[in-house]
Amino acid sequence: MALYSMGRRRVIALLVLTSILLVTLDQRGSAIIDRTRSLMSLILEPFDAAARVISRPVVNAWKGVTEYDDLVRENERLQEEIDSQRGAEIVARAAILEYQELLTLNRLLGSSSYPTATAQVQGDSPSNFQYTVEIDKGSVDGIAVGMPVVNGGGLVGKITRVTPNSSIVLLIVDPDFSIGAKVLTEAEQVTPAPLITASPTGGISLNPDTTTTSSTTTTVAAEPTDSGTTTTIDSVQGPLDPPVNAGTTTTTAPSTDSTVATTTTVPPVEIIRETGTLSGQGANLPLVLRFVDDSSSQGRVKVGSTVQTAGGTQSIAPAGLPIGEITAIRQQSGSRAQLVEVRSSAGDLSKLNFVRVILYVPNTSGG
Amino acid sequence: MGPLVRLFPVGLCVLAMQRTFLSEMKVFGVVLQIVLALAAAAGAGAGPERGAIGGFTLGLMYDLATGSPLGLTALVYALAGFVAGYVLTLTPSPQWWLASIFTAIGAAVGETAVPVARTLIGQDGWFTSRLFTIVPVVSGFALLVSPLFVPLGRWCMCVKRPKWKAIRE
Repeated sequence: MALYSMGRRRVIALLVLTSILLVTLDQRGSAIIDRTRSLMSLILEPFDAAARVISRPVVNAWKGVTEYDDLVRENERLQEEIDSQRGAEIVARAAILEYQELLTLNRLLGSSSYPTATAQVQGDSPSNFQYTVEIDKGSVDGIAVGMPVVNGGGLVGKITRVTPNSSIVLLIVDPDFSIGAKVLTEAEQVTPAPLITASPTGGISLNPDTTTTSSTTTTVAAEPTDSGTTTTIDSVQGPLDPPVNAGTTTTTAPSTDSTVATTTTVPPVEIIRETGTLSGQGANLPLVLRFVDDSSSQGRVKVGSTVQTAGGTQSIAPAGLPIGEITAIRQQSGSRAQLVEVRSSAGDLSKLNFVRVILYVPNTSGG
Repeated sequence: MGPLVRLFPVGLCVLAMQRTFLSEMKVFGVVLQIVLALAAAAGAGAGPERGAIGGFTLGLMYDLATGSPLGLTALVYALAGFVAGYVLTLTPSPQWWLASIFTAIGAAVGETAVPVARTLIGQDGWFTSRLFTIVPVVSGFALLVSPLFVPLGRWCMCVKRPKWKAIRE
């Protein structure tokens, strides 16, 4: 048998050409191919269901054998994490409430203002070169291509294929995943905190490019009383807010001084916002953030800074969805650009069970 | 037409296995590729041309079912079937172990070709050290299932095993 006979060459050429044609059509977007996929999904549904039912005991036994030790270790680690986060959760809840109040006050839409659809993960990617999961909600439930998917921790991925009863989610760790992201960094206090002797509701001049959150602490020494308390006033003030007294807690300290001395300390916490594009690198590898303006990131972004979705008319996700935190900042060889590594806050994406699809459609008209 | 009639239902069953429990039962974190194993086995059982056609058909079904770019896996699986089919150029009736080895080689070539093909269409980032784990595991799995899959692939492609008869003089 000849290695390269005429018939064999024809077969190879035909298959290669057909593949190239199909890949091109699919990449450009073809309604016929989309319909064929939906049809294939419908045909496969009963086969999948049967395979799941038959294989369930085998899969459970396999996981019991291979993952038992990992699960025990993970359980212990999570228990420790829960204990340590209990206190932080209470603080975070209060912060979220304040944030919601501010959004309402300013008539802004937060990421939690959009309707969501909760879905269960049906299966992992069948390929070793694709980080996707299949969920049990589809176009019937209002899901469309491009919608962001989150879990309790943050952004998980985006919808890439939709059939009537199921959807494919491209995970954030996939190298093909890309999304606009912003970094929120607390600026370092270069100079000692200014000491302002003024009324607690006094105006503060602000840099228009940045947002300054001023934590104002006022200590009022009052007339000596039996109970003895100190007055502490905390206020959160934005550039557009009128000066208001917010969150006032009053305690009065014992004092023998009969005069009232007001001392206000304002430690400035400047929130620097850097915008870039975030993409995945594969499982067990950190996400990578590349900045739109390379020079702007020099020395301003720090390890531990929070990364969120940037939002905008062209973005697939609304602004403010948590993505993760910066774990490392590396200088790229031969370039001024910094390579910022981000650890996803969504946790281990290979163990997803339930996710929420944010039914968000970007307002591309810009209106 | 005959091979397609047989290959389609068998392909659906194998695809369902791939999409459900095989995507969960990972070995060293690697998803075992049963459809690729069948494509390579079809080549080892039926020869390079038929193996390529069988692999292409299975790959197309895989692309339609999993959402990967249509035609990409088809091309890769066709290559796997084609490579595995070269066992028939050595001997028209290979022993089971020889067919198994070629099935494993075909599967290894196919799995290695996936990142290459993805890079060609602009989806880079798949050439990592993880390939050194993925390819042996996928290839080993194909080797294990080949004694079952080579006859199945031969049946799907409507090829009968040649029987040698003694000629009386």
